[in-house]
Amino acid sequence: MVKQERRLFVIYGLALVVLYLVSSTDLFIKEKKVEIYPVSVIVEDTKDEYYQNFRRGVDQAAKEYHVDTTFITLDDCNSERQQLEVLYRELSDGAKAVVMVPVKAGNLLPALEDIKAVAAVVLYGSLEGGEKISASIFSMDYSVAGKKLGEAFVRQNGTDCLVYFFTEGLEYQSNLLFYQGIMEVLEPLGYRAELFTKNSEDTFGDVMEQVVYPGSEKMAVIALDSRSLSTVADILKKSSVYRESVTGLYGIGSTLSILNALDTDMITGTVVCNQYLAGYRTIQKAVEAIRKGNIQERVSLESFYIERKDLRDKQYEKMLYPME
Amino acid sequence: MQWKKKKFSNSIRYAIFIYFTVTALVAIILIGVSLYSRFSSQLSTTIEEERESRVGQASRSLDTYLQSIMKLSDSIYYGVIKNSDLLGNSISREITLLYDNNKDNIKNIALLRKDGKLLEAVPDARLKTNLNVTEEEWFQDTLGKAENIHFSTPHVQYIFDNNENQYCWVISMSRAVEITEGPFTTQGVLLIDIRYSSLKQLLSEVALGVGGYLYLVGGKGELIYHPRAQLIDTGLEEEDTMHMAAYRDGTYKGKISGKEKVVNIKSVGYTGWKLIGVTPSARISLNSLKTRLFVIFIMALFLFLISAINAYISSKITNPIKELEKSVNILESGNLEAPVYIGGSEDIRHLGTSIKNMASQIQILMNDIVKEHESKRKSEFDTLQSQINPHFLYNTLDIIVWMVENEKKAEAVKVVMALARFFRISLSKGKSTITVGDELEHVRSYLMIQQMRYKNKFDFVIEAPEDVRQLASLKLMLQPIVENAIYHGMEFMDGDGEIRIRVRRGGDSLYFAISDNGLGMTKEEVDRLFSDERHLPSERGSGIGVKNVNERIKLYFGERYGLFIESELDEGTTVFLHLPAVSYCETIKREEE
Repeated sequence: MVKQERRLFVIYGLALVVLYLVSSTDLFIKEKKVEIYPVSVIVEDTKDEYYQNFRRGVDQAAKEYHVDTTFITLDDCNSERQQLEVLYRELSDGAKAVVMVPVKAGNLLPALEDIKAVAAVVLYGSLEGGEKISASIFSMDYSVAGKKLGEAFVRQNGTDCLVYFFTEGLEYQSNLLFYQGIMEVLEPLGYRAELFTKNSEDTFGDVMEQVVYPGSEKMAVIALDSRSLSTVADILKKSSVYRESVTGLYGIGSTLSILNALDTDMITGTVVCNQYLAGYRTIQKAVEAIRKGNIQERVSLESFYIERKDLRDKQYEKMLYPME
Repeated sequence: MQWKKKKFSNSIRYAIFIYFTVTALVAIILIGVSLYSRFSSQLSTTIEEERESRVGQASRSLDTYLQSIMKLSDSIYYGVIKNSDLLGNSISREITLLYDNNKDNIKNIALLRKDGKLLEAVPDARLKTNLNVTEEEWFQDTLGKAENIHFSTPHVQYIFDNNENQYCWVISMSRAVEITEGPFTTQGVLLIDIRYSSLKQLLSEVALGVGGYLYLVGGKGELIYHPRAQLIDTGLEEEDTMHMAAYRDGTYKGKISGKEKVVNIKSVGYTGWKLIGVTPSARISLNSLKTRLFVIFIMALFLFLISAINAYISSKITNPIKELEKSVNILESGNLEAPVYIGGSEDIRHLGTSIKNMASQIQILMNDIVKEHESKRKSEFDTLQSQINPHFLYNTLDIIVWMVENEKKAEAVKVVMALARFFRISLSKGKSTITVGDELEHVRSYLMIQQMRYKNKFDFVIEAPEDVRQLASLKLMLQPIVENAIYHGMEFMDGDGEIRIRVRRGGDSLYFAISDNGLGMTKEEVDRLFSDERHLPSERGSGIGVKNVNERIKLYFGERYGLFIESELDEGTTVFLHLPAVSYCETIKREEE
């Protein structure tokens, strides 16, 4: 065997070894490893009642994208300080991404800007100054939602109807935008409106007690947030007198209690968005941000105005009552 | 390098190796590809059959599941409702018994009169206050087609007042029933709400491999169960349920959502539902990159082994030929006595023997030629000996007589001695070579005699260092040259002729230069001396020409050696002889051998 031939055989032998390693081991072509991403979902509430559907979407996405989610509520509702504490705790515990429903935008933005180098950030809900932060923001266009509700209100109520707005506060940007959206429709038509902000647990009950009495002027209530809507629905449920005086209760949100109240005509109409889809997409985006880095993006979620008759509508049924 | 490459690529071994290996490669590729295709299609078929069987099994399970619900409705209807008078009597206990046995699958059982009144509900429940069931489509359909059992699509149960914190997805099964209330018989609706979660659990347990899934559609393509139903509803996912519902039972392949997929469709008895199993085609074949590379590796490994065997076999076949070739090369270089390789297969051995015989034959023929040449040379010497001009002898003897008569005894003695020396050296026991000293002595004797004959018409000088005298020289090599110088150069000189003989050693060579200052020659005359053109010997010369001396030198010492002439008209001629500087003893030894 000549030297050249021997060399060729050695090269061929080496090529065979390489081919074997490529075809039968993980040295060159690695089998797709399932990477589990730890993602924390931090909401601003003390309960997850308002996020049931959102959570189902989160769970579905977590299953598909191999995400280990931790759903965290606060001990004190709307506590910015506590939300920040939880945020830093989750990051130190190894969360690779954070999906947040921020309490208020203001003080949170610098902190979010700080952490985006170590973790992906996805926000859900309205956030003023959101354009300043490199993060995906999922939010309903509250102004548009307000207009939709205002238009529905106008269709059902004349201008003689007094409008009472109940809210937890207009310092929350979502409430403010929603309010402005409604007023954009009502104000030009000459509707009279009054705004009541929740100061204590009894604020709305006291207001109702004072303004609603037999033979009083026709009035309608518009709640500017889910919690206010639930509270007012509960108040109306307690007394038939209130129901006689209040021509309609409108609001925003799609918790089960709100939907049940809608089904029993306690609530006239509510503006909803697909929270299941929001939950799914925030996790989807969080995984994308973990893989590729934070992207500044604002995703607007479509809003729908629904009434009792719509509950059985196939278009809304799965959206409002996600399948288990 | 290029020559080597060419030699390598043209060798028999290389040709055998390439032919065998290419044949093996073609065979390996054909076998590999056909086996791979066969295994791949076999595997695909097996997986497809297995998927089909799983979908069939799921369909049978679903069938059994629905049958059990229908049997439950039969039991309630024929076993309880038909045998009971509902006027003032409750059948709640009987229905509860049946419900308890099926409560994992059943959410509610309700009996409604055709006017919408709820007669029984298990578990205990009441209709929503603002709900009139008689206006509900399902209620009207059930009473409208009383002979059928009706299955709804999944929906949130909404007719009963429930816990506010929960909702439940159900599939409603309803049938028209006859209710006896005292003397009256009236129509009613038996409603059984099947838990969607139980159906989901039944179907989600069916595994169709990675990327595979199972879903259930109604007769019109409405989605009943899908693992990603919620995402399809929101538009994030797509599933062409309407299209699929139109297909008959069987297996179909095609592009769904841009990907090749295999779809198994199986109808579910009675309901008109269709169970559809979807599997990505890529998952039911051997087409993964690693598998392909492994097949290539196996083929390459076989080729490697076969190549190694081929290399060994081709070496085994061609090595004897190579050995034989080496032997032939040695023979070709002139060594006919070298041993010839005889080995390998019978044919090669035979060839080796033939070459060996041929070499022996050539050797014999060569020896004959050498002998013939030797004898020819011998005869030439003999001729030379015999051709020593009798006239030269007569004249010499005449001079001797003249010298004796004139009392010049001393000169006579000198001539006689020179003549005696001349003949002694001429004989030299018949040898071809003598020492340079003897050759010079021989020519000196000759020149002395001729000088006396020509009455000192010329002078001669012989210059030779001592170290060259014992070297070998051809016998009678100088005498013909000197003879030519005398007869053609000195004859017409008038006492001032000169013949000079110089000998010197230069490395491994020995040079003789015989020059005269005679008439000289033209170049044509010089060339003619070496040509085959016949030139008659001078009347008084020995007749052995320059050409003869040149040929003898070449014949004896080799082609490198010989004679050449430098001559110029009226200036003289110098003849150069080039011989190897070898000792006389060695030459004698060789001659004896």
